Amino acid sequence: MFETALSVSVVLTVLGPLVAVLFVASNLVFMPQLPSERLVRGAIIGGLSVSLAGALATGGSWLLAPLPAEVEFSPWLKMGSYVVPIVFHIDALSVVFSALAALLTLLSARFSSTYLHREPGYTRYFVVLALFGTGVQLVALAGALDLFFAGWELIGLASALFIGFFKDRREPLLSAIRAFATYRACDIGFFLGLVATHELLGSTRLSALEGAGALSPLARNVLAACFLLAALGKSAQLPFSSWLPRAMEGPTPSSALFYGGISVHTGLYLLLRTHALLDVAPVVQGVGVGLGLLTALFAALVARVQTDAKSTIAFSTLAQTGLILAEIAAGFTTLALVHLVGHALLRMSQYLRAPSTLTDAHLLLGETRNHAIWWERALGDAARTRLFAASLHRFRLDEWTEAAVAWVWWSATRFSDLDARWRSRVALDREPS
Amino acid sequence: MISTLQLVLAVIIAVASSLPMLFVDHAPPARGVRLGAAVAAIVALFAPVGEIAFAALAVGLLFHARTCGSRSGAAGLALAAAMTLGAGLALALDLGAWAWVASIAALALRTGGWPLHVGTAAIAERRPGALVDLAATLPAAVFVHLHHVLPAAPELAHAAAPVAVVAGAAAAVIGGLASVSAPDLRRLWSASYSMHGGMLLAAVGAAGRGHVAAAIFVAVSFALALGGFGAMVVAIESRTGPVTLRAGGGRSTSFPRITWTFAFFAAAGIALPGTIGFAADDLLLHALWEESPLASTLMLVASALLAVGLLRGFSGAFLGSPLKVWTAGDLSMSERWLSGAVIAVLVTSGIYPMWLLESVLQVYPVGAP
Repeated sequence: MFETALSVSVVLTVLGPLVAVLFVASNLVFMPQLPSERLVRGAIIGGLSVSLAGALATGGSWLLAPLPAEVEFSPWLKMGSYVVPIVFHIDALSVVFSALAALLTLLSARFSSTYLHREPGYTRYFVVLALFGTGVQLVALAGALDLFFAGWELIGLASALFIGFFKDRREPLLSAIRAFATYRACDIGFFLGLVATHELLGSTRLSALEGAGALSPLARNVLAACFLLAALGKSAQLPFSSWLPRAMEGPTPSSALFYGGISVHTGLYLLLRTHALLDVAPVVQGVGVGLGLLTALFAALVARVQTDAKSTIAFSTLAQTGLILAEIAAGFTTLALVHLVGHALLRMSQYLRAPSTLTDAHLLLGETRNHAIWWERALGDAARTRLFAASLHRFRLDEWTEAAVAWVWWSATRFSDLDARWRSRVALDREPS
Repeated sequence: MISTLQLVLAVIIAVASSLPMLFVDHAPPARGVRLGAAVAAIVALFAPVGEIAFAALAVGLLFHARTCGSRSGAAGLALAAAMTLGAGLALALDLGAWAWVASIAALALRTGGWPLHVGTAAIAERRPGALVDLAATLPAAVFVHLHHVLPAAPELAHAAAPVAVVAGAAAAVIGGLASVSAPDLRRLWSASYSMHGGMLLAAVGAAGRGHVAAAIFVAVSFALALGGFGAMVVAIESRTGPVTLRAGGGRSTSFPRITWTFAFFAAAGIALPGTIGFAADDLLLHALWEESPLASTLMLVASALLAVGLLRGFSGAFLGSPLKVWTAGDLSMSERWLSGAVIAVLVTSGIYPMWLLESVLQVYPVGAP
């Protein structure tokens, strides 16, 4: 009975938003008129409410019997010894992240229903939001890496679609491509890690990672490095930080949910979920601590010289996520979870208040002031000026990133030219297409 | 004895073949000839012996060559038909190894795996709808290869698998690279086709070591997701003319349904979770890893490149401020129902892939990677 209730609540949590998406999408495809705002809002908020109710019920069930549990359905793929299970892992970490994600997604949807009223793309916004709702619940509750990856991909896609939401302007579209390219490049690490986990440990269940200690030191560190790479991309840690400030092109409620609340933390959540592997990979732990602290320092310096509210909050977010990464890599997982939840709540509220920043500043301070901190004053004028200039240029991270990926573009165009030449030489068609 | 897998693949071929026939096309070639290609593929699927199956596939390829609208394309397809006949002949003469080589060459020619993509690229640029036809009948060609050629040349298929998977993955990377810099929608379609061609070759190569399910899933995803993508290219071009990706197109305002159906098919082709593409990628990457981790890594790079190319293409064709207002209508009701049916198959097979996998396992019980 208890197990059935737990299974039902997990299914509702994950599928609630997806059913809403399918309902709106079928309206979109088959009905002669495009669906009204009211219908879209009702369906999506309904689906997200079901998801929240399911998440709370799952959390409640876990509180009644606070032991890690697995809810398993018939396998997604089964072929001899190769099995991809549909399994959800219920423990303190997953119920907290699931409830947090469901709550913030629903709040964001409610906020957006007014914020985006009569905005072109209203339906698109809500469909993508619900798709994100399903993706994030898959990530939160997944008990196997395949399921985790499915949710992970949905989050990445939703993020790119939100960044490019204001589709009439060129900048948001370019920013969306940049973020998506970063995600996909780093996801190579995730999928390699997933496949290697299956081959080395015999299963992609998260519980299988407990056996990582039996692997050779090289195998453990390489496997952990794959997941670290994926986490660095999704959580915008150095050297993949440059997409985050550009992601602010999207609507404020989606920025709040993605880059303040949940999406930016999913990389860190991945590391929390796979910490059994990280714990036995000391080299990767060291790299994680180093990159986390470096990101925190970089972002803290840059945040202080930003001239708009959303960029300041974006870099502040980076600084905190850097610290959380360092905490996870150093083994302080409980502290990291508390830090993550607190940070997500604070940052989401800050993003949602961002359009009123000036009013808030005047109300709170009477005037906006420049705060120089003690070590900045101690630096001396020349050093302080240099640091200011470097921070203002974001330590040229964008230029470095662009130089690093320029060869991909160069080789693509060069290859296209060569290919066109080769095809024109052997083509039998006389007239151009 | 007809297997469930054959019936399932026949239905998939029928659905995928109807995509280009029902969609509006600027220069629709004779429907009878296109129908002939689909019927030939289904005959090949149910043929009791390899010789008949290959003969039917060759006839189908000649039908495709007749309607492809390009001399280079027709020459490539005629060559593929000759290879296919050669494979049948080799089977008849008990020359299994030659049958394997000829069948792989025919598959490479029809799927446009680099550097054998000259014909398919020319078709994509001249008559994109004809390439959708070709994609639709692909599951039959893959099934015939698995069913008739692999048992005839098991040693060669086993020995060549590591080379075939790396070659396929490398071809996929080149297709992915081409997609990133595609200047217009037709070249993006051509590059996507070529990338998936490399993917299919890798899958068919891995099938030589028992990973048959991956090859079937990749072929079905090829026919439905990639075919749907091609049909959307046809749909938008028939309404607005050729689509360049350099300037923002802004077509989503006039064609919201085409825009989002296009996006769905494009995403399904790059393994959107919840579609059969995701299951196909999962099976393929596990299979490739067993044969060559390098091939697995290359395939992931190719997929990432294609994903970026497709998002860039989607933005360039549909998003941005509208260049003009088009008066042509959005998807017609018949196009919507057909797209809806294909989407339903893609999603059902993505969420519950076991229905297809079970039918594969009935025929190939030892197919586990």
